Amino acid sequence: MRILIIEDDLEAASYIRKGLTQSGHVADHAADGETGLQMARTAEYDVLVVDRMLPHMDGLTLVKALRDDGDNTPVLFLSALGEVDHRIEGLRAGGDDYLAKPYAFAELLARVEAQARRRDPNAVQTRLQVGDLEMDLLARTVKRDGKNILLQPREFRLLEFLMKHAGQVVTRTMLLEKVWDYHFDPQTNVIDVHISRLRGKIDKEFDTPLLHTVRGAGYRLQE
Amino acid sequence: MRRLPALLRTTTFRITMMAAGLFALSAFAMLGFVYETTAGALTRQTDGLLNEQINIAKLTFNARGTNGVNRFVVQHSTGKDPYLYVFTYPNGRFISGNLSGLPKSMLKPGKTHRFSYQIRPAGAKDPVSHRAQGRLILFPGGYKLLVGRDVEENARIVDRIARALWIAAASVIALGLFSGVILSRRFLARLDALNAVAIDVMSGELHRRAPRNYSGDELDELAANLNAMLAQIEKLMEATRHTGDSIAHDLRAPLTRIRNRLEANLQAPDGEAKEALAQTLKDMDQILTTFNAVLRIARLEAGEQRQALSPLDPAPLVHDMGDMFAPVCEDSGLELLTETQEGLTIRADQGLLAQAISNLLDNAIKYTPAGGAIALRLRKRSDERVEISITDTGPGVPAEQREAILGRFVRLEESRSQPGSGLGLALVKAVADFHGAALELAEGAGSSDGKGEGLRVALVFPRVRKTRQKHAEKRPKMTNSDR
Repeated sequence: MRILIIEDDLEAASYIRKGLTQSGHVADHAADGETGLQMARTAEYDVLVVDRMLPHMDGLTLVKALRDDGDNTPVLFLSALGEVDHRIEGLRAGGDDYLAKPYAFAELLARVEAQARRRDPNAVQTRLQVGDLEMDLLARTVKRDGKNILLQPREFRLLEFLMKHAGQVVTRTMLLEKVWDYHFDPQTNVIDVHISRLRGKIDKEFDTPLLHTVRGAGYRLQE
Repeated sequence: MRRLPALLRTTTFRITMMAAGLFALSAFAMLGFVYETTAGALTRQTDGLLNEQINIAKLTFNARGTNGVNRFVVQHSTGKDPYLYVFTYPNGRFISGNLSGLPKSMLKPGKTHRFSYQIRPAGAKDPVSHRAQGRLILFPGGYKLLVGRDVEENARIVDRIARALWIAAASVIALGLFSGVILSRRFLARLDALNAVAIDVMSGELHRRAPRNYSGDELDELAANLNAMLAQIEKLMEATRHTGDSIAHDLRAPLTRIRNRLEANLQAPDGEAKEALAQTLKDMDQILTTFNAVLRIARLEAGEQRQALSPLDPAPLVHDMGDMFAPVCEDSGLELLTETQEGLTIRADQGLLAQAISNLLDNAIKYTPAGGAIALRLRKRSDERVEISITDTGPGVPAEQREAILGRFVRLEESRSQPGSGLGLALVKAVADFHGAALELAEGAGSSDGKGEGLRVALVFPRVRKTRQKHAEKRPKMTNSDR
């Protein structure tokens, strides 16, 4: 994947760049808003990682300008302004996701990869498949190895999200935001408990586990 | 330009002066009217009497010529009449009368003139000057007749009236000035007191408050507002300082731990170092969580984002939270009972409310022994307020400690062994305050193991006005393409 990082904090930028490169992506860097906009306009990127506060042109303006050009490249905002209103402001300006500083790199990586996946042309799916695990989104049924698995509505949505991001790391915060649609910091392992329930249903009676825990990051559904 | 003395520059003084000026103006008008109706009336009365005499003189002239007039003058000059006459030839030579000649100011015939003349009162040695009022008539042929009347008596009355009026006018102005000065000085004194407080506050004495007289007047209101503002500022300053202290307090320990571990592992073999790094990362995450919580509390206490509150039905949220925590409770051997009431409205921020409920459930789960139960309830109280309560069957909190546990970093002795930053309830309290909601702590129904009374924590929201409910829009939620 080709990613453009627009961030004026050079150390943070080089750290993100290094991390993304190690994960097999190609990352470019722009240190200010104007350069960033120019680079985003001239080259084709899969995801833009944009800091909100930038010299010359702030992140919101930059993304608005891109959207006005008809450029729909997914944008992940990075910001020290983490409160709810700022998040909504960022999303309204055309951002696709919002990550408050400080963040774990695993969280950033997971979100960047999740954004890239959104560009897949076969966005309207009615069936999802990971290994021998199948999900029918219309009938709302789940089968593994041909056997029916009964899931509660929330578990179904959790699995649906994991299957749509199969092979990617999804973090606990991402699950809380996307599956439950809440933005807060649960102090306990609420998400872990739900994952463990789901795991009990889809993995327990089968030889190969599909739902893996990624240490220090989150979870990954993978064959 | 030279600056005016402080007193003259005050608004009150200027206003008082203006009022005094207007007052004086109307007083002058009134005094003028009084003068006109008294002195003027006397003059007109005299004029009328003179007219009578003039008419007689004219009739006499018409009937009997100059001789007739002469006789009229001679006859009337000697009587006790207070009239004055001078009859002269056209060249001004005296013919008859009781004055020695025409007064020098008597020039124009037909107009009333004032003049003075010398008179020797009976028994007096020297003549005195009396004021008189008269009119000159020019007969055909050039003969002149002055008909006048002594108005000394009237003039004295008028003088007295005039003097009285002048004194009255002077008093009005003096009184106006005096009251202006007094009022301004009182106003200035109170203003100086306010300024003194402002200066003290600027120099760092935040506890100073403006003096009030509780009269409810403008200055008192200003003082009250100023005091409320200072109280708020002091509270924020206190909160900021407290936040700083709290951050330092809670972050020093883990930071020191991290530092020590890193130092110790600097020379350690790779495998061990990696393990230490992983542990450090975990510590760092804990620090960041604490840091974020402290920051969030501080922001809430500073009252930012108050506009983020919008009317919402808390039932789905409470239901979701129950849903989310039910498996967690189950794993801890607890039973979670969620009860919601539909169709209620509160003004709230969804994320913050979720955070508060999550923290409260978290606490309940942490402190309730296995086999117990937790109830999450949403209901409308008899006083129409909406209440979200979490009741557990844990050991509870002694009544005297309930207030204290809402503070930051406060953890009761018995709970030191439990993980947590000690910020959970403080954040709930901050969220409650932010929503204008009351946070009530009470004993629960009793503990499951008989060692305590359980704890009931309730968030009680203020009533939402109906009109607001109608017009307010639902807060836009984050768009979510993954669902």
